[in-house]
Amino acid sequence: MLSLDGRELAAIFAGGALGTVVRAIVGTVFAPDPTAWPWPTFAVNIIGAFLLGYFTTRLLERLPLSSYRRPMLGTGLCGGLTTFSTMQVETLKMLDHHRYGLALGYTTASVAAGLAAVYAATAVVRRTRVRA
Amino acid sequence: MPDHESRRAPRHSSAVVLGAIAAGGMLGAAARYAVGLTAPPPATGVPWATLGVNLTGCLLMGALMALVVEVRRTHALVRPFLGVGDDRAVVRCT
Repeated sequence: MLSLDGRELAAIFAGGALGTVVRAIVGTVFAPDPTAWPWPTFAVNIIGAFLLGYFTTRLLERLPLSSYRRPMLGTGLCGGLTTFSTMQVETLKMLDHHRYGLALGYTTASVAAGLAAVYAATAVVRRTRVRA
Repeated sequence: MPDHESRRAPRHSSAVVLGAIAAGGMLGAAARYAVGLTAPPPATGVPWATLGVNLTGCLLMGALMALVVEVRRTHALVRPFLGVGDDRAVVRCT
């Protein structure tokens, strides 16, 4: 069953708006070039993966239950900040330009670095002691 | 892609564009959250909801790119709202 209260919805809206605006601003740093490494997308995805790992682990294991932190920080902020579909479009453009090695390296590195970022974030949270 | 640049509608101020991006982000995040509530990810097994959201996002994104870049001229705020930024259309939910 779907049940959202106003505070939860506001938290999602705030997180989603902030995450996407930050991504848009980061995206303006470099002009998109299908023959070069897409640093803005790569950076937001890896940073977003780290943050999501950090928030998720901390909210689940370290902080008291809250109904609005996960939708705001996880779904909203990290969801807006990161992008799966842009990564795929960039990969498609690389393939269009016959940059097969770049496309393979980019997708592989994105998945591997994202996993490593989540792993690292989880480890960082778990190193800190639980507050009594 | 200069030929696409010239076909774009007049530019809005960056505040308006950022507003469109923020509004899209809100809706995408809410939709994503609703999907998660409706179909919570299983502890083990395939997280179908996430897979579905990602693939749907890519499908919509591909359609949006083709629409905006190749098929017809759209309102200048369609792309920042449905996607992010100028040359990177992104469906919010992914």
